[in-house]
Amino acid sequence: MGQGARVRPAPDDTARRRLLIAAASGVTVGVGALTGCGERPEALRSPLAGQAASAPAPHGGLTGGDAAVADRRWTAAWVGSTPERGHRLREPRSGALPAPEIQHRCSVLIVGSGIAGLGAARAFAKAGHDDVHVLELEDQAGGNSRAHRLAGMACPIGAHYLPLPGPQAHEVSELLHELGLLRQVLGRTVADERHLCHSPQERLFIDGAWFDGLLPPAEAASPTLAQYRAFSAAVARAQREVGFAMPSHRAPWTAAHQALDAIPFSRWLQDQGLTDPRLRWYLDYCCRDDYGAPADVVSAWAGLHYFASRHGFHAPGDAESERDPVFTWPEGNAWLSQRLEKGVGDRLLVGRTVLQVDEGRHNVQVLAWDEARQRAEAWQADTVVMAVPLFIAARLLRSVPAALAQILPLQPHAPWLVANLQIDEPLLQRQGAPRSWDNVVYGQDGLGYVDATHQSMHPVAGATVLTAYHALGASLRPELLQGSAEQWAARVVRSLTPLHPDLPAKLRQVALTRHGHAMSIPVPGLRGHPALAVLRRMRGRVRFAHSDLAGYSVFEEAFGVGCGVARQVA
Amino acid sequence: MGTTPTPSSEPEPDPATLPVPDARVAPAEAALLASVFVVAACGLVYELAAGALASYLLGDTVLQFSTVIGTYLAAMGIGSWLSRYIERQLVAQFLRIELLVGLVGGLLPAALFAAHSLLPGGHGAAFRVLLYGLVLLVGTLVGLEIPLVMRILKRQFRHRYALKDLVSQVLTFDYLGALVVSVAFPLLLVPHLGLIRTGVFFGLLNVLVAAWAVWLFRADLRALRSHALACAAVFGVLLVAMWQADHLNTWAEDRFYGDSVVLRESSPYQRVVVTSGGAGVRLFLNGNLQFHSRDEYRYHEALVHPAMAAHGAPRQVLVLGGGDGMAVREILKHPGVEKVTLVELDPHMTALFSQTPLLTALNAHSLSSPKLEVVNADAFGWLEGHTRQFDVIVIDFPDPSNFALGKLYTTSFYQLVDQHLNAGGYAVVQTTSPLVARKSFWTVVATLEAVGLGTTPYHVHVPSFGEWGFVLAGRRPWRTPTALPPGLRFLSLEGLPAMLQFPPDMSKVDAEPNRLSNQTLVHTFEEEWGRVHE
Repeated sequence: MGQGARVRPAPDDTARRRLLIAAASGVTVGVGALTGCGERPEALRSPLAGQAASAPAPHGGLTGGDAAVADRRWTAAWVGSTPERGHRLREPRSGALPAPEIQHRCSVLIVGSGIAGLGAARAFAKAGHDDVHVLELEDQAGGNSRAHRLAGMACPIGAHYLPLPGPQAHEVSELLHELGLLRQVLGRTVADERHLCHSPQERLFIDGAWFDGLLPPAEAASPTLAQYRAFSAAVARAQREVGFAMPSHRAPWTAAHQALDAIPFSRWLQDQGLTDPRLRWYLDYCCRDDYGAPADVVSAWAGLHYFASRHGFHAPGDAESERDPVFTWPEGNAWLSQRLEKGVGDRLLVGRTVLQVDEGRHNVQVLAWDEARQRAEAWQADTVVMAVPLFIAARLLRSVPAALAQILPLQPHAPWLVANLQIDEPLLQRQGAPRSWDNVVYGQDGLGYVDATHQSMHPVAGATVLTAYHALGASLRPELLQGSAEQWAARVVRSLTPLHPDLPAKLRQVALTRHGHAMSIPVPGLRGHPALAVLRRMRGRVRFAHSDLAGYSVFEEAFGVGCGVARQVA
Repeated sequence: MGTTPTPSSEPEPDPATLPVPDARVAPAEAALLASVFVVAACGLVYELAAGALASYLLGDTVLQFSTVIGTYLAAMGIGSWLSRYIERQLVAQFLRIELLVGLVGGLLPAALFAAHSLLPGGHGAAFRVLLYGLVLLVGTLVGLEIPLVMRILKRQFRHRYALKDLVSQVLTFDYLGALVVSVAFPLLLVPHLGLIRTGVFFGLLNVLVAAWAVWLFRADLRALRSHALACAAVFGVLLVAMWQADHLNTWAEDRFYGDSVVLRESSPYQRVVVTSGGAGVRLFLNGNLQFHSRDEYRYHEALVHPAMAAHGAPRQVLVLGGGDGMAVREILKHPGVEKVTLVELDPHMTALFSQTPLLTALNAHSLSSPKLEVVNADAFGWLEGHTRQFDVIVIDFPDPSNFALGKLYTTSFYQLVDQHLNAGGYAVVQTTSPLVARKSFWTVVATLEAVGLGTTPYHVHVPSFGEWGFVLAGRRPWRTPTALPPGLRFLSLEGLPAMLQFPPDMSKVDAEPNRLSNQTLVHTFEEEWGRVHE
């Protein structure tokens, strides 16, 4: 439809006749609607991880899929991470560290340029510290908020949205004001709608059709709806009686929190009598989406925090059921990290693998490997901010603080696979809700896909990039490292084909990003462990700033902890 | 499908032709079972095609599918019952039925299309008679087939089959064929072949089964030659139909538009059809009427002049959408205009309307004006990328019938429009029908007001469209102009105030502004126009 066209009914026109002509000429029409019989694709229930797990050998797991690989028209490649750099740290410390060829000095050195590191760098600059440098292992800053480009189209390789910040996330609010995403109008905070996720936002594929929203539909007066209401009430009660905040450390940690943190979320749900399969699938999906692990792995504190720290949980038909606005961009949260990065300028050095951090009485000595020039460089700084996951910090530090050593065995990290699929033309749509930003399949282990051109204002759908997310179990990590891009891409494609049978024909390339240790999983006993609080309060020359300190990974936690460290030091 | 009685009158086959007992599956047996599979598949295709067509043409999918399927199954019952009266020459009868199914079933979608185009509107009853007649015929023939195949198998391989095995074997293939088709029909066949060719394709399969049977039973058949000829003839007819499917489609399109189609093109964005007939020229995009030369002046004069004349001295004018050049034609009637910028997404549209004589006669060669700059780009992207300001901005987009188009009616878009208006400038938005889509109309008004623009809604009657609405917006209140350019056929200074009056059935209703994050307009629009189409 061109912009020169007005859609008006011709006096003698009937919509059905138009459809008739389209159908007669073999023009693609909504095929689900055509027959009036949407079948329930049972194949959807064979999840990516399940297939992989059933045949963990590199050659297995692809039975029945090899044919698809053989005659495929698309290519696949790994992008965005260089595991060999980080894994260099696993080699035993034989004292064989390279000798530095060059010596640098600065006041503050930040190790890691994820959101925590970039947030810290920005906060230092705001406080007037200009002698701050940032070292990044990868060739691109941003950590989990990085982007990629396929055929000129930007797409995320990690986090892809940021909820409208609540009252306690004032550092984030301030950043968003500075970036022009939030404004004050007559005393009210107004968001720039172009950057808020456009409608339609989310849809769920269930019972053979797409439904608006991610919560599985429930009939009036059904047990499912009753359970939705019960969980909604439980979340509201937890908000009122226990207290949750985002970032989490802004709420006091009480005995009630400690009790929730001691048990898995699934057990807590069981205790509350919340057993409805649809509710449980949705909550499990939420946990996997935010924490990289299902409801029987994360703690009840984490499960409740997901809802209680933000928007609550609203059953369908509740007065307050309108969904929470989120900011999103074609490149995901790289839109934010790239702007933060710009502020750091040339004091951000990428392709620098830090090998050792040695805290001395008068300064900190840091040894880094310059990947481009293939030489070691020594840094001397008054303060070093470890904006890296805690298990990496432990590998780098010459002397590991006791609190850090205590927390390491308690903090697992989830491996993630992010697949960007470049397609030539829009995919055929099954019946139900129209193309949306976030598209999830009920009952599948995958986390669905987002459409990178959803925010486009172009009035005609065309080529796009779909970003599919998979939080994999830790058991799949070795295979993720060793498997070929083609094999993993074939699995991703196979998991989406039941939804879009025309995907293989329209797919051109798949760019896969493996995050071997994407995020801390808030397992029972982690968040409430006193060692995390100790690390947060450390006052030496080495400071810790990472979302790992909160036990889970979101932008608000990472950015907040980065800003906090800068405030203490400055 | 009943048991398989062996009437005493059935001729005993000559023992010499009986196959030698053999554990292996004989080719004839495999062929017959394969034919059951194909026959079942074809039968279901015809049934699905008839159901799909009936829902398109008559509406009410559930009703049409149930009645078509019901009729079809009942007809199969009739066929099964009738099969008992076929007592001789089973193979020859099977061949005849098979060919007849291929011919009638294969051409069923094409026939229904043709009939629907030929029958004038309001002859739904005649169409229904044809539809159910054909369904009854195809169903009866298919119903005859399966019992015949069973009896042939029983006769040829009586040493092998107990009744339970025979029934189990045949019905297994019958149901499996149905399964394959029920999956392939919506996913593969209709998207790739279209309904007409899908029908013909399965007709060809029926004929192939028949041809195979002729070959296998060549020894038993009496008039072998005439059977072969019949196969070839039906095959030929269906091939021609396969090849001519596009012509049929074009012809159906001509019938649909009523007049002769003088121009028919597809761009990456839309299907453009121009018709010309006694009453004038009409433009359709994707089957929707865009203008009728008989009354388009009413629409375009009303779209352009209230803003242009009220501004007083517009020099820089922007048109968003409107690739037909009609709005530009009206703008150029103001001699003070120095430059018109037309931002139209589809280069195909602007090329057509600047080169085709029939169309340039309508827009008075406006797209060739030296004052005009044509930009083929999407409007939002173009506005974001440019800082130029305009005295008048004319927004002539398609109605917000989907979420992508709905984005062009949001606060975010109007904010951008506002930034491109000169102080004292006006924007005007074509805004669907305030009579049919009352809430949609007032939603657009609320959206323009939400970004701080003052609005002046008005409406006119365009016979081809009905009551149509526009919203004028600007930072300066609109005042009735004191002069209009000469040569207008519809607008007059005396008539203007009446256009601002909204009678009670179109008067203002409360509406939320349309935002990117909620797109309320698309929902409202769909609901309001949906009521009309029901």
